[in-house]
Amino acid sequence: MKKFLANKYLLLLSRLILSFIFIYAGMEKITDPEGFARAINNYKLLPFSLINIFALILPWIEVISGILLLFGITVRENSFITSSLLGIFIIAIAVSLLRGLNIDCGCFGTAGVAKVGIQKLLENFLLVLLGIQLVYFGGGTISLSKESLG
Amino acid sequence: MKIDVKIILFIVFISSLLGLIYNYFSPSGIPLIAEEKKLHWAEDSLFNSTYEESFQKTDTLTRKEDVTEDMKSIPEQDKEKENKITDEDKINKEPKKKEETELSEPAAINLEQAYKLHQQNVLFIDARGPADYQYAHIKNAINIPFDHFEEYKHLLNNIDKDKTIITYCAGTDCDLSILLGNILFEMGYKRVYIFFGGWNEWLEANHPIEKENQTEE
Repeated sequence: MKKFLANKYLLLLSRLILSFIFIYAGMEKITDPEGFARAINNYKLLPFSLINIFALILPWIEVISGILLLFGITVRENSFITSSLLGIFIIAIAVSLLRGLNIDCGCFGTAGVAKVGIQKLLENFLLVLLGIQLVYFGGGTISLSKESLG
Repeated sequence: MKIDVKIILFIVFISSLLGLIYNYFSPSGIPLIAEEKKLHWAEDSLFNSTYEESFQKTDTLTRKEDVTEDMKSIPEQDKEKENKITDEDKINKEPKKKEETELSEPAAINLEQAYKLHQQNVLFIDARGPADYQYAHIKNAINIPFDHFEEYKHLLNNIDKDKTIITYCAGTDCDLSILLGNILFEMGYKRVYIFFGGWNEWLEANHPIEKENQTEE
C-alpha cells in the first residue's frame, strides 16, 4: 500500500488534481471578492470586521500554493497549506451542517450554486487525503523540488 | 518527512501581500473592513390606517421639498389665500400627504407587517436563486435573484417607482433581500421594505405560498 501511494506517477496525478482545483477555486473567488465575502459571512463563523480581509487573502493563498504545486515547487509545504485550508473548510461546512444552515458553499466563489452539504464534506475530505499523501511522499515525478532534482 | 515552516510562512505572507495589493488596484476591490449594514426597522404605525404618527417620523427634508413643490403648483391667484393660511392650518393639512411618505433608506419589516401588506396585494420580490423560487415562494411574489440581477432587471420595467416593494430571501441567515432592497432603492424605488424574517418565517406561520404550479392557502 505504502509503495502504491509513493508511486511517482500517482503522486504527480494527485498533485495535478489538487493544484488545478485550488487554482480554479481561487481564481473564481478573486474575480468576485464581494460575493466571496458574502459567502463567508453566511457561515456566521468569523467576526464581521475580519470577513473582507479573509476574503481577499484566502483566494490568493489558494492560487499561489496551487501554482507552486503544479510546478512541483516546495510540494510538501504547499500540500501542507492546502490540507490545512481544506481542514478549515471541512470544519466550517460541518459546523454549518450541524447548525442546520442552508447556505451556498462559496467553495468556488459564486460560480457554483452548490449548497453546503454532505457531498461538499466528502469532496473536501478526499482532497485532504490527496494533500496528506503529498505531504508524506513528496511531489512525485516532473517536480522541481530538491529531492526529485537531486 | 521534512516540512520547512519558514517556507510555509513565506508563501502565506507573499500571497496575503499579493491579495491586498491586487485589491488596492482592482476595480472590483472591496474595503478591508466591511461597513456593518444597519437595518432600520419600520415603525408599526407605518402600516396602520392612520399614518399620522409615521409621517412625523419621516425625513423632514422630503417633507419640505414636497411642501415647496406644492407651493409652486398653486396658481398665482390662490397664492394670496395661501399666505393667509396660518401655520396651524398647515400642520393640520400635513397628515393628508401621508401616502407620499418616502423612506430615507429601505426599512425592515417583521412577519406581521409583511402579512398585513401581503393582504393589501403589495408586490413581493424573492431575492433567492431561481431554483429556490421555483420550488416554492410567497404567493404572488416575483423572482429577481440578487446574484443574477442584471439578467432579471427587465422585470422591473413595468413596476412603477412609487409602488411599495417588499424584498425577502431565505431568512435571517441571508442578506440577499437587504442587498436587493438597497439596489432597488438606489434605482429610485423609494418605498422598499425588507421582510427580514423571509421565507422561513413565512412558511412557519403557514401564510399563503405558491409551489410549482399549485397554490396553497
